[in-house]
Amino acid sequence: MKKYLILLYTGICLAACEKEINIKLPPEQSKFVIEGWLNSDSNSVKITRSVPLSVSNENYPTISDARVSITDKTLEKSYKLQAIQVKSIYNTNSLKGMNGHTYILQVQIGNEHFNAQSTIPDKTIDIDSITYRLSFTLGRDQNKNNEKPIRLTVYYHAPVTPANYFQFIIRRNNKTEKGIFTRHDENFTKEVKNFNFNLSVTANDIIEVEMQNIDKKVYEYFTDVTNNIKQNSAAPTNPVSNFGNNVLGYFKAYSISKKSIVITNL
Amino acid sequence: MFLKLTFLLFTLFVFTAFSFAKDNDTITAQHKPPVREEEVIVTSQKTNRVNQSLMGVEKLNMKIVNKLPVVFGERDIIKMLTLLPGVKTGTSGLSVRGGSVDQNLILLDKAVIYNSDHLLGFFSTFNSDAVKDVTLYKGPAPAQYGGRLASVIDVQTKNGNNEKFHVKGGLGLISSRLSIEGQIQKGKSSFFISGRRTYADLFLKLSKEFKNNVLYFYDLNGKFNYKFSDKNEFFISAYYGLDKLGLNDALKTNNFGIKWRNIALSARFKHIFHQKLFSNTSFTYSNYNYKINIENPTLQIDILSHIRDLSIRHETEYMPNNQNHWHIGIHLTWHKNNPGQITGHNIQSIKNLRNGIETAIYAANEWKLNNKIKINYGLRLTDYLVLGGSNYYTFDTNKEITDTINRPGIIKHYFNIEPRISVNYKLLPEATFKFSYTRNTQHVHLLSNSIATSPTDRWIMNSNIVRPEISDQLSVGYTQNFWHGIIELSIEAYYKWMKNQVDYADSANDKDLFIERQLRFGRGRAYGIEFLLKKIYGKFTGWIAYTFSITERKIQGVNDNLWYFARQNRPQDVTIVLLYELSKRWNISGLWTFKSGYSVTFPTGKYEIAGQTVWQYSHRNANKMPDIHRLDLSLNYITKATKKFKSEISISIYNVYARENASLIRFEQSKSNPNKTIAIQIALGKIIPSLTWNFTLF
Repeated sequence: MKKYLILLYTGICLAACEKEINIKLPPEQSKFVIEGWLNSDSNSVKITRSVPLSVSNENYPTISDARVSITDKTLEKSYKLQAIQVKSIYNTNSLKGMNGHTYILQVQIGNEHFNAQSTIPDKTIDIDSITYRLSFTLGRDQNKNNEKPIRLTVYYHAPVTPANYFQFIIRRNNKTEKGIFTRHDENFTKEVKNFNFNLSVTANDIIEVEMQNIDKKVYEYFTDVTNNIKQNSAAPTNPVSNFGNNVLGYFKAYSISKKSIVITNL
Repeated sequence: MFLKLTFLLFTLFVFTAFSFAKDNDTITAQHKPPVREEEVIVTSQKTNRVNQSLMGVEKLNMKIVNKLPVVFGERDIIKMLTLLPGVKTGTSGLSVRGGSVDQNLILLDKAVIYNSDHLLGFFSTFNSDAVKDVTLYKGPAPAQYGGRLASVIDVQTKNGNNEKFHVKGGLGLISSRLSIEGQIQKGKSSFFISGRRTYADLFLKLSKEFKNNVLYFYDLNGKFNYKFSDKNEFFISAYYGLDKLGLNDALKTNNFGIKWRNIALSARFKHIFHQKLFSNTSFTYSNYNYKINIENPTLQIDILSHIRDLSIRHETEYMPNNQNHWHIGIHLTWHKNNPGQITGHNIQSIKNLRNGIETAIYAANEWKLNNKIKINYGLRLTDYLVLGGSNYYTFDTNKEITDTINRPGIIKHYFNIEPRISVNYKLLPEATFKFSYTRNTQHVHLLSNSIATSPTDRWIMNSNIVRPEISDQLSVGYTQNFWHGIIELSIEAYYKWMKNQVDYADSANDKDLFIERQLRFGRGRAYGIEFLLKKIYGKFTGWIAYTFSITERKIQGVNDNLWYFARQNRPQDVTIVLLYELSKRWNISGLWTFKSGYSVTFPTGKYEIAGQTVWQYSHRNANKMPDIHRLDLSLNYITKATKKFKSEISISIYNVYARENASLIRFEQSKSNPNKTIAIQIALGKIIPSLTWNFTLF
């Protein structure tokens, strides 16, 4: 929306301007940031802190001495996670996420305790097929590097109810596309469903689509994050985390389906 | 309640019948001699402010309006109002004494206008050629007015000239207008028609990047009046305005279109019984609707919203003697509202039309107690009926629907008493002290979650969950004239308490089909002091206005239940307006304005989620945008007038010293150094010159 406002302002004034400014910001209140996820193959918990805007993005502090564990509520079994390979990323090989189970991630840093709960949906939903076609363009057909814009469509099927929530990871030649891609099918009326994505590709690219079936709270969290990044709201707030108010971040337990295609004729 | 309503209607009917029966008087009612309307306002202005018993009233002088510098060559009434103390531009409309943009009762010949802007605020809904006068009440309005908390903007259109035929118009760089007025039957009936269109999009077509964008509006005003006799007169006025905005990026993958439309119709019958008693009966119709269309990879939807009013008002004015002037009346409005219907790819549409009736009876008197004291007192009783026949819901704390109510009849009603009192005490012949207390209620509410006029602004009405907004305002003031009325100083201070204020919850989904579960309610408070120093006569006229004001909200579940500044909070506001008549043909005018930046929420920190920089926020609206100021100048040349033709050329420059006044600030990672976070300011319009040619054919 902001983009459209900018377009409008520029248009009507023929002279709107953007410039970088120095601005006084409210005092900083650093909070812990926990990104935890769990699926049937692997798991990972990353712990850092928020920093003032003036700090470089390279310098997010890492927390390597936290005590992290995941409990399978359904089985009533706990697993400890350790940071072995990378200082701020904790994981365990003994835990494989199972459909329908509810998991609780517990993190203790110093004297503070944080926990969040997430449930893997009952049934794994698989990607049925992926198709693509060239997008309509006006003016330039290709940007630099011979890339062309396409519309990618991902098909799957599921009963009309209950609603499903997804997060997609799209990789182009093993490199993850930047962005957060969330979708839901709450109002879909048929069993065969699809979602569309915009991409720029060149011939022979390998596109891998990873469809993560997440729970509703995590979906809402990522929708909040997308709105947060866009800065469209008149009254922005922190995304509602399943950890509660005292810490930033999320815990996502999900089932996963992957499929790849190769871009041939463009 | 229906019984009470029937009784009221019956009383009204009887009263009217009785009045007609009494109409045997042969005393002809007094009429003012036919003068040109602008003159009436100028002469009455001299002693107007000091003698008025009402505080916080401003009457716009159309003669001055037509001389002030303007953006795009349009004399804009709503923009002129913002040059007065206590009135600021909100996000998409006016903010009066700290109120939000939906808290202004904007009337065009007594029909309600819901959106006072064209094209996101660059033009107002009112074509100044069609306007006879504008009166602004900044809070304490007499009991005849009700339904909004912050202000009343009462716009009356011109009656056609019932003697001659005139054509008037203007051609400008970005918009043009034309009016025709004249008589149909000499001395008996006349008409007035005017139209206006902007063609800003023609310029956009020149640019490769923006040529797919559509940007225009047009509006039409019409008025017809017929004088049956010296005692009976009939007026009908109509307004139609359409705005269209379409933004499509060059690749046509992101399309956004918005179309909105305002219709207002007003039919009034005036009956004069005798010099001391007359009545007005009017029927009005308003219809505001908009349609948004969004098409991009993640969203393909159409959003429709509308609110439609049908109302009948009957008012009797009775002046038993020179000391009393009564207004007694009844006003009924039937609201029909569709808060937001969403249709689109894979989305089921839900149409939930709601109905409500706003009823009011009032009695008010302007009482001249003695030579020094004048008191305006009145009482307005309102009852809002939430009508059934569509779905109403209740929700739990998890936003799940716990109950659906759908039954005919009255679901709920809200009764309120609105006392109004205003005292005017003449300390000295040229100095007056004033005091007032007003209570107002409001039954329609605009939900807004955005930085500027946005697709997701929606009008809703009271319901089982949404209660009427209520405000109480106390104000005191002092006015003094100097130099025999040439210079006027006025100072007013106010404090306003507001209840049942509506806002979106944190992280609300403003596209929710069940929007009420995204709302939170609470209180508001606003206070301030306004200074106005005016020079009304002479070659050199103008004014200096200064306002200091604060406006805050405390909403349940928002900002940790603490008070926070409302978005439209702008503590300092200075406006200086100067007009100078160089000669009979040449005049120049300038205005300089300074305002504090509006309140905003900036991030206190940043962190990463899924490889993206995410902003950390703390308290709502704890920061402010940079202050803005600018200078506008205008030069007007009146060509030699003949008996048949008169014209004027006007050159205006908006923002003469080209200051980049911030309208938006956003944060992002620097393109040259992706690890560094920077703040980018977007300024609206640097220096904008415009040229207009205005003409009148007699």
